[in-house]
Amino acid sequence: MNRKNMKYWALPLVCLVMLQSCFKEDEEYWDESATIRLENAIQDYRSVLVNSEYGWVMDFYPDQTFTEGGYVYTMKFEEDGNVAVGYELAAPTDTRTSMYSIEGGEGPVLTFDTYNEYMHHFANPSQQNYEGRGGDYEFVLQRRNDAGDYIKTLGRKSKNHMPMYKLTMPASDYYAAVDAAEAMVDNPNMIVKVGDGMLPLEKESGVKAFVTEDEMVYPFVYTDQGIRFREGVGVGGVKDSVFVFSSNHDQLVGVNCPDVTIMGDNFGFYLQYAGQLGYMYSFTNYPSSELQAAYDNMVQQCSVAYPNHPINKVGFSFDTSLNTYVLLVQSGTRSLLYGIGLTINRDNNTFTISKLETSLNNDNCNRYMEAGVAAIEDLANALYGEYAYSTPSTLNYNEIDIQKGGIALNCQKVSIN
Amino acid sequence: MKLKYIFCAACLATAMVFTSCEKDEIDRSTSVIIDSDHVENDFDRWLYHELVLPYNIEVKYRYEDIESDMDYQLVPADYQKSVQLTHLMKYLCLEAYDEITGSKDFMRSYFPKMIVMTGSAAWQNNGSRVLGQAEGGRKITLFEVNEMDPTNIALLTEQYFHTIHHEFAHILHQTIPYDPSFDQISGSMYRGDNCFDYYSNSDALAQQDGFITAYAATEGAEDFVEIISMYVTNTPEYWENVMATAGDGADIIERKFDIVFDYMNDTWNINLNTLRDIVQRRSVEAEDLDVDDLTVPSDEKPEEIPLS
Repeated sequence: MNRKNMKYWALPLVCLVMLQSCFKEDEEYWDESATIRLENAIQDYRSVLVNSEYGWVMDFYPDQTFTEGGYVYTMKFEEDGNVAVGYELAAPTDTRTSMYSIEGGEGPVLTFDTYNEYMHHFANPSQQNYEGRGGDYEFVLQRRNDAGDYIKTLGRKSKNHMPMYKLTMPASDYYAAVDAAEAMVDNPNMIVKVGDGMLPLEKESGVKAFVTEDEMVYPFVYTDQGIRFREGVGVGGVKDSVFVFSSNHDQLVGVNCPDVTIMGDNFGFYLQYAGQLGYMYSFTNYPSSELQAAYDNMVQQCSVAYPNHPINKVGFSFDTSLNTYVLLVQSGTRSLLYGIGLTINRDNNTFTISKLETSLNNDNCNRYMEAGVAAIEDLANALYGEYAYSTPSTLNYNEIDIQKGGIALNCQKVSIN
Repeated sequence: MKLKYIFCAACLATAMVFTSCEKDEIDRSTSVIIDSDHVENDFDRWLYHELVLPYNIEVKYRYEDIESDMDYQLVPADYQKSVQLTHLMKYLCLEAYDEITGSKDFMRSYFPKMIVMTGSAAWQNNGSRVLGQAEGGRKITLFEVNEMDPTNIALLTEQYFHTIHHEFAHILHQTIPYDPSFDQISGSMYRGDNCFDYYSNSDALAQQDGFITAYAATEGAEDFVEIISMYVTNTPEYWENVMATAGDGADIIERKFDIVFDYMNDTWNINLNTLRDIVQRRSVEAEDLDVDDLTVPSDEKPEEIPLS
């Protein structure tokens, strides 16, 4: 075979090698076609959703920034295609009924396809908000657990994961428990603790998201037993996302990883927050002769200076206009504010009350002092020092005992008149 | 050389023939379309009886993302509002034409086959909104259904029925064209999408230039159907008032209207004056309509009209 002929034979050989395909017998991974599997999945999810006596609760996250935090939705699916929806912004027993479908899309898609005031609350657009508030009402049903009491869903527009859990009690009872949990966790400054590791968290009043000092956002929802974060929170890689109240309700404990706990941060932080909301911590006792004498003198002096306004409360607070912690004496609706220094020690959960270095320059205070209510200075002097504290729950600080050298003052959170 | 090319081509062809694959048989026994398994409700039954069988019209009141407009953030229509608006649309649009043509055949043949109800308005980022739109004569989408008040017929006419008459008129002239001389009357005055800005969204200003609405100044076809829609959905007094206040525009509108009137009369045997009387009479009667009624007579077999 000369070289010329070789070219003629080489070309078809190359073609045969390159273009040849394919006796392939791919191993079938699935037993059935995609269509049948999708159809089966739709039927399976329908039956799982309908077969819950009390319906389902969904951790609903309306937007992608998560700054609003999560919202609790409940849904009771019926065979006839109707669904009764409740959410935490409505009264616990209120529901709105509309229709739902499970359609084939990028998997089985649960869609609330007629208008429901509650379900579409975060999606409804307006002139001012032409994209609504980013809420979804179509959810891809991604998987469920074998027990059929958990479904992982994905919001079709927001791409947020919004898990659904089977309710084990009537929705109205669940909302009542959620409200109780929310009332229990009334502390904007919390600390996640794992061993000696700490992660301080902050949140604004009413918002269901904690923010770290690095501005990481941890949105969550309240549950009947505690709180459930959208993703794990912890220290040094030890994390949990579901937390329940400890038996004495003084902290939150990780369900899957009990080493992770969440408790209220130092009382001093809370005192500032409470003051901003119009609360003070009123002393219920004066357990030393020094304190008792200062208090008695104050009552006496006030009854002379302001006979029509007897003292009714004495305690701590934070004054936003003066921007300082204060000793606060209430006589009727009048307040005598005496500035104090307060420093917080996170390491050993103590705080120190000290004399304010700069003069307060407070007309209100000066006026009282000039009018003869000078014993407040004696009270302040008696209070200066470092305090340890104990409380039924760090999560809300409704009541607190502060201790200095064996002297324990009991304080109750009350509104400033 | 030539022989060489032929030889190469033959080899290639041979190679390709030999490369055929073994393929799995296509499963023709299973459809890849998954039917929706909605449980039929009262409205579904009413729609089938009142709109599907007599008119071959489907009302989609349940939100489907593929039928919605991806450009907007939308929410579904309220069930009860959809029931009410469908009743009114049937009474004020479909049956008005039935009455003048003497049967349901006309609407069955020409009316868009799909009506999509959407709960919210289609809000745009400049604060404006779309209340209705049509696609290719096959589908009409009605927005902001959740806000509609079934007792305020005048507002509903402005928001919805005007659009429906408008879109339906498009279908008529796309089926049988109108006299091209119509487009010459305003000629270069048409302003395309700029019409709203040019007339500051004011119909009264547009009327001075011979356009019945600002939107009519878009192009000839829009002008044509706006005249039909505005004529039948408004009272004679309204029309006379426009003519009296349009200044130089009145004569232009009059000339256009003559062509429109003749077209409807000669082409479709529809006298616009009679149609307007019917629509106006029905607008008054609609206030007493039971717009929530979904009873379907069980002993009466629905009228099934064979496809012509």
